[in-house]
Amino acid sequence: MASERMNDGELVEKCKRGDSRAWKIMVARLTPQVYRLSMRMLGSGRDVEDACQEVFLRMIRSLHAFDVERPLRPWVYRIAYHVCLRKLGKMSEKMSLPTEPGQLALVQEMDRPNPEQSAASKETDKLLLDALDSLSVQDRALVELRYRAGLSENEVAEVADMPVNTVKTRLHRARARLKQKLSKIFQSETA
Amino acid sequence: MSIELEEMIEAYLEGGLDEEQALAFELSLSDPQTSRAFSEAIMLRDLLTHLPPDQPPWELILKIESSVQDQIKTSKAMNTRDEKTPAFRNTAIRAVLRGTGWSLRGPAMVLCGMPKVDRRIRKAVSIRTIWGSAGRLARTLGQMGQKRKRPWWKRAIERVS
Repeated sequence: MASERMNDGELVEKCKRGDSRAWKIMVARLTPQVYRLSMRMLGSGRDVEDACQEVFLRMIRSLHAFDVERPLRPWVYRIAYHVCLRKLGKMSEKMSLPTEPGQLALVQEMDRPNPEQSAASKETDKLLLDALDSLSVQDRALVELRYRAGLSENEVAEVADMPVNTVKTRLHRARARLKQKLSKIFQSETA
Repeated sequence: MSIELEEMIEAYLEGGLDEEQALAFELSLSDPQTSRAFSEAIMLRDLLTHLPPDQPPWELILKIESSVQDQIKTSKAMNTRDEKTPAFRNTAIRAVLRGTGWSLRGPAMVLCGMPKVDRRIRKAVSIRTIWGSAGRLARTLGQMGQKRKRPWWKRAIERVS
């Protein structure tokens, strides 16, 4: 369908006019990205769904102020990032959720499928996911935005409301930790 | 690995270095430590970018779609109600004028109660105040639910015909 191939700017223009079909395309196009970031930050299914819905409702409320000349994705990621942070804050208030990386990894481990069920070829992915879980929530989000969403460091800084140098330092720290956790894979690959 | 070296590797991998810088970096790869850091950075980048994407469940997309549609309908309804039509503008102007009229009645009533003000002025003001507030209010109340009277000339023509 031609309308599904329209660029982000055109889509935003149509959404601003309240075109419900354009919104449908927008939801289909952006939900996977919002979902991935929310998964990386929140971990559990129910909260992720709530966060995704909230992101789109916020988008409706503030889309009129969005400048079409600017890229859409960093703006959406910015909303998603802050919605997830707020959710994490509420969760930790309610049930004193562990915010330490190690503890969070334990909580998320319960939601994961049994490692025995996963295929041998997915062992590396599992190790990587575990390594990612060992990072703090914010570092995990930064890695997701930088490498999986493909944003530049400047865009990541804008999304996370942080100075670029802080983003660089955090990413450096996250990469060092990931390399440390994945040393087994690295050694076998370089050997 | 130092942050500077890592930044250099990142910039090289993303094509952010100019030709001269890239050449200098390639020469530095003869150093085993730099070379090792470089291959590790490539591997990590590969692992992260090729991690299978978490796909949102189909029901979630449908749920979001329906809540978005509801929200759009609500905001559309709100916009229609607040639209600045000429009728809406006239009503607003009338309301402001009426409000101003009512606010003038307060000081007038205070003036009525003043002993030093001439009796005739007080009487005039009080009649005007009562007429302005209660009279008008009574008329409005009396007109509520009633059909508006036809003009006298229309009624006269009707009688004649």
